[in-house]
Amino acid sequence: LAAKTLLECSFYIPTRRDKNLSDGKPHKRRAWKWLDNSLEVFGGVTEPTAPYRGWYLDRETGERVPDVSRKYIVAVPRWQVNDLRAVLRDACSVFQQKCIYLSIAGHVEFVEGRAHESE
Amino acid sequence: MKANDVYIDLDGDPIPLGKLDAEERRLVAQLRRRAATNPDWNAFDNYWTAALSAFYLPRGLSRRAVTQTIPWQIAQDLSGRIGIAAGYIQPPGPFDDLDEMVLFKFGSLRAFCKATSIPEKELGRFMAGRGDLSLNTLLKGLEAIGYRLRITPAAPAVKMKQPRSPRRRRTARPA
Repeated sequence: LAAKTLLECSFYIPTRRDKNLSDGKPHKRRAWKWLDNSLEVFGGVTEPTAPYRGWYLDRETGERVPDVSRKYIVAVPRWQVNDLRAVLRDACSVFQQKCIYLSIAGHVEFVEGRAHESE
Repeated sequence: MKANDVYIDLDGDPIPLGKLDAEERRLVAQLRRRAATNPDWNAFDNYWTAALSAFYLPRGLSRRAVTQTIPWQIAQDLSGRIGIAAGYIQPPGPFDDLDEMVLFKFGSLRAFCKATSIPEKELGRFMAGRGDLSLNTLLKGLEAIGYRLRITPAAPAVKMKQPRSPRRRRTARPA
């Protein structure tokens, strides 16, 4: 039997809400609870213990925005990658982000929230 | 109810332990012992999510059903306490129940506002701490979906500290 091929996917969730979309404050417990529950269907997630600090240029304001994120690594079969994208689309709204960095087997994409898709 | 038959969560709400079997009680005790060692927040989340899956999946529960169990709720609460103490999570606030209802019962602010007739923009600004919402608007909206406001004693405050300096991530991402 051929082994089921899994793709390593990783994404970053900033520890604070976007200060342009929202108020820049740390998330509430319910947001992390929601993510725990949403990721359980993928059968296992690893979070490196150190938070990650970085920055990005806000496309709307042109401003350099520093952020601190939690990284998640999840191995998913190819057919489930869209499910992960859907979770991250919702996560944009739950965590008040314009987009979320997602790396799928080394290929990077930015998953936008539903409110930003038509812009 | 005996004190060891109930777990009091961060909101001061009791989670009954009476229906747990002996193994589940041991699991909860393990989670509480681990949380009491003041672990790293991410390390604790890695631990409890794996521990609960390893415990319940062999019992025939679906992954979705695992998230509905009492030990899962307790682990999330313990994780919340650790995250708050580390400065990564906002301490409990007065509108957490409303926030949870919007997300978990309605799925989105839009759906909640449609059901309650509360203007979405107004509620969105209020929930983000950027505006006020009239108490009457909220009361009427809640009444429309069969809810009401209740005043309860506050749970003890949880201290919040600044997170430790994290590892640098150089990757930039567009907004």
